[in-house]
Amino acid sequence: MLRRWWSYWIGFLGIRIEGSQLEKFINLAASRGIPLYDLRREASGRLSAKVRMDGFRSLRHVARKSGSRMRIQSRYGWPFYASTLKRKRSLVIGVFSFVLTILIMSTFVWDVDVIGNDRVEKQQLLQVAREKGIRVGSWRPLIDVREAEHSLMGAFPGLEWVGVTAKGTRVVIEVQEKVLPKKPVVNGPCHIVAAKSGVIQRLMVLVGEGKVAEGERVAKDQVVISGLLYDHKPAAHTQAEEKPTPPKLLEKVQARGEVWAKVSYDQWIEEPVLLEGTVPTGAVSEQWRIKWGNQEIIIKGPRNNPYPTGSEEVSMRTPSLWRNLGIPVEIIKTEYHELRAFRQERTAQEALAAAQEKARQAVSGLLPPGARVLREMVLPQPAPPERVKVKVSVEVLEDIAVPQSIEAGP
Amino acid sequence: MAWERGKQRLQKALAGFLEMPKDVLLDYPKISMIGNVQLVLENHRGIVEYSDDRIRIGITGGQLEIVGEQLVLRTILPEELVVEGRIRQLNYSK
Repeated sequence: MLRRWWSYWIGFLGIRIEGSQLEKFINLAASRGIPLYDLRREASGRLSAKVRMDGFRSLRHVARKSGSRMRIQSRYGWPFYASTLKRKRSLVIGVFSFVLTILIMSTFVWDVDVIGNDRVEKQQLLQVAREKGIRVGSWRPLIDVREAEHSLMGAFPGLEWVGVTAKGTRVVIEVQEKVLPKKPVVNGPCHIVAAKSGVIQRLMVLVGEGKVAEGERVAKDQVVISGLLYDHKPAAHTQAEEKPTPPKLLEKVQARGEVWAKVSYDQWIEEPVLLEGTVPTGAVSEQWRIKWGNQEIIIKGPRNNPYPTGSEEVSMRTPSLWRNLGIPVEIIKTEYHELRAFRQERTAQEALAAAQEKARQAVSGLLPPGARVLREMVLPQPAPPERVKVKVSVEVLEDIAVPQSIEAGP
Repeated sequence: MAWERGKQRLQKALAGFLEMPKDVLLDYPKISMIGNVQLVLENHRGIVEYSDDRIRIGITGGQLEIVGEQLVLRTILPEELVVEGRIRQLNYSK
């Protein structure tokens, strides 16, 4: 393999040898270390062979010694090819300029894309990137990726992280936006009201005036910490008979604090003792369809659901041709899952346990983060025959403080 | 002459004793064939006769005759040669 490659670069000749002592010719050549390739007897008694360029001159000598005549038949390899290329100069120039053009073109940016922006406008991001030299048609080596990242971070305070990657002729600006806290922040003066009704366990007033005592029951939307500060100092008695003046409003503040209250959640769950339903058997058959406009063709799989009882899942895919050029074809994959009916005989006890578990699941879905479950009570309720009913009440300690703008409040 | 024979006997004995491949010590040719389409012969002594259905090659202690059809000497180097074509027979002769 390597030898072939090497002889291609050196160049080799196809020769034809005539003479009476061809064996002698071969032996002499071999003993002198001139490698001959593809020796062939031809019908006319002549011999054809291939020899490397560097061995040809000494082969002349061999031919003279063995009394045979040599003729060059054909030439192969790079040196000869190069000489023909010299004649076809424009072709070579064309090939080179083509390759060079491709190389040069691939050092430019042809595509700028933004990923991961949700609230920040893509156009604004692109505008800032453009100022840093990332635009369609800019030269790759001139782009300072880190610099662009920094300037993007500086320009948009809502961004947590920016990554600019130049991959080939494509620049991708990847953006992570800051996740803002979920609590609705009310601007301006506000009260703190109860989000749920419960019994106050601990009240921590940071700003404002506490309106309830610990141990008190509050209803939903009741003001717990007021943002209106009044002057409670008793006014100087000028006249005994005078009506007490309403306390003077000093200022409106933004009330802040934590209100930890005991909230109870009640769940009534009814369960049949006998459990009936369907479970998948695991047998699945797929059907693939192609949708073109309003025509559908089934490529593979059954025509319709092959199972007597079954469910189907449909997923669609739109193949994209290249980047963002789509083709108006949808590939629809339908999975048919076989279902089988089952009956589970349960005792009332098992049904109760299952119901309780369900209730617990339902409650835990309602709880805010940071809540602590204090107590759980399960009360079986009277139920129609063949069913069980259970009431689960869960007592939870949680923060029920919610700001509410004073103007909005009553 | 007697010396030569004694030397050969000694070499043979040595080769058997040391369990060495015979082509290393004894100058024998080493032939490897791939099916009947390629034959590589190392350690040859030159070509005696060459045509496209019969090639005779000198080897240590005689000749090797390759009979076949469309035989081509793919490569010939001072030490080895490669024959391709449809090989039918290999004959050794003194």
